[in-house]
Amino acid sequence: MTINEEMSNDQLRRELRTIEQMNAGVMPRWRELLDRMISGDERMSADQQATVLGVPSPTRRGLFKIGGATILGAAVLAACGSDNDTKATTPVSTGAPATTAATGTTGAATTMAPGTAMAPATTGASGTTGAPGTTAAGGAAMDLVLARTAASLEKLAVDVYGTAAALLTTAAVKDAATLFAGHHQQHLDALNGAIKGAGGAVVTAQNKAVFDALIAPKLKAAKTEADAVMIAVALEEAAAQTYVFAGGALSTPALRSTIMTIGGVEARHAAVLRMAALAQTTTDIFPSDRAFFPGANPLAGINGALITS
Amino acid sequence: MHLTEQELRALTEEVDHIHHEGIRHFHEEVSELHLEAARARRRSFAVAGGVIGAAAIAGPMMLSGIASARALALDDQTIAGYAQSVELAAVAVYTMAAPLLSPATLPVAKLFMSHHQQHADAFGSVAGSHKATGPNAKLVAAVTPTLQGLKDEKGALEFAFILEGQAAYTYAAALTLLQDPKYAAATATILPIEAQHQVVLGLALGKSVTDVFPTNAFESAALGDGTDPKAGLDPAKFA
Repeated sequence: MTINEEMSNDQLRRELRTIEQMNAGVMPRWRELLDRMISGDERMSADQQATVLGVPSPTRRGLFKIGGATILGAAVLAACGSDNDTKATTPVSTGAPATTAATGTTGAATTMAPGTAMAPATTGASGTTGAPGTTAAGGAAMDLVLARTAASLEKLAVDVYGTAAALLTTAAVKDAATLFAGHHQQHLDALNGAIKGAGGAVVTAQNKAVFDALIAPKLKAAKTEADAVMIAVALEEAAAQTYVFAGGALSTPALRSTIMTIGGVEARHAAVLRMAALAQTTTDIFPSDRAFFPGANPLAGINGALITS
Repeated sequence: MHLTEQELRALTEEVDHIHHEGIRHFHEEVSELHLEAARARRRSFAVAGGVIGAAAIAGPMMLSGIASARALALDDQTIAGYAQSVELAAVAVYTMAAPLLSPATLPVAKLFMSHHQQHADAFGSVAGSHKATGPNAKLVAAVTPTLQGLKDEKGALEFAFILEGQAAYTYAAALTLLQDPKYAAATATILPIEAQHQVVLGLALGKSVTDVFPTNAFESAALGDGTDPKAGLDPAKFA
């Protein structure tokens, strides 16, 4: 289907403006999360912070998947250069990875088998594994690195939407892309605000390593609006999956909730793009009729992805 | 599952009685709890080590209703049982709305109903002694008058559209309460599904892109009494 063919562009733009104004009103929540992460108030492990910020985990090898591309790489958080380095490069030697409920699955659907995946945790729960980076002091330097890296990824998303816009031909799709890019820009602004407040240098460049590894090949091959939208879908779904993983990996309920208030919206973005811009059906939005969003960590190491300076 | 109209009426009467007994001091309690939550939040920012300056104050959407839910001292199993009952209520709602749906829409409704049943099963499996025995009676009672007034497919889909959003917001709020990360992880896999349900229903209804983001760039974590389409279903009212 097309986006609401009966709706005029003027109407759509008015609504977009309205929703942007509303968005500005709720941004303090996002800033709150960032402040709490960066200040070390929450006992977030390095893994958890990496998960939230969309950078590779220092303790686990994993996969970073976007649109079918899979990259294996180093545990780049080892480059943090803080007094947390030793810990940050030491794999977790006991127990399951920090959160298993959403990660111990494969395939399209993250199952929640009764009595297993959702069973009360006795081991492997985030915050109880002794995962590295749990001390506020050790995490302080890393927090800024992670924040910078996350900001670079937000900038990447903004840029990708901007670049892909050249291939968009449908006015309503363009407007939706502009709206979604605006969300990412606001995230970037919020991140930079927190970084600046912590005495760090704001991020103005996209994450080149991630772009080169995952986005550039697809952009280069993209010829049509559908190609461009599929790149956006892949980005949004990867982001949503990252947040779902984080929703179980973060150390405190407040952080987990905050992350999922974002993750849910990323999932909405993907659904809108699939249904409205690609004319896909529920079969595409819910492959295999899945009832649970994938929660496996889609992130892993990409050399150079970490913004350390 | 299926509820007869007679059963719904009986549930309504029962719930109305319980509700009126319990609601008497509800607003004062919520007001006080909101203040306590705000104070606690300010205290939590004070121990941050001063890396970041003035902390942002939590948006009202986050605090609204959660303090009252927290005051119920809900443990994870209780929350799981509550979520199960809400999911079962969603199944009941789709079941009741099904006769109004066209052949083109019915399969989607059945898919979503199946999702809700799976969610209910999952929550029920870890709810322990708090496992629900059926749909959330208070919620069913609250929505019954509206359901009974539905006359066409559009009305049914609009109703489901709102309910799906409220389900997503309920889980965003539940995540502020769940202590066990595994419960949270599982809940996190469900929230986006409800959100996507709402998108599908909204677009099927011809809503604009902006309309399928009712709370814009962030899911609401607020809780309400069911009348606010932008707030989740407060266990203080429905549990």
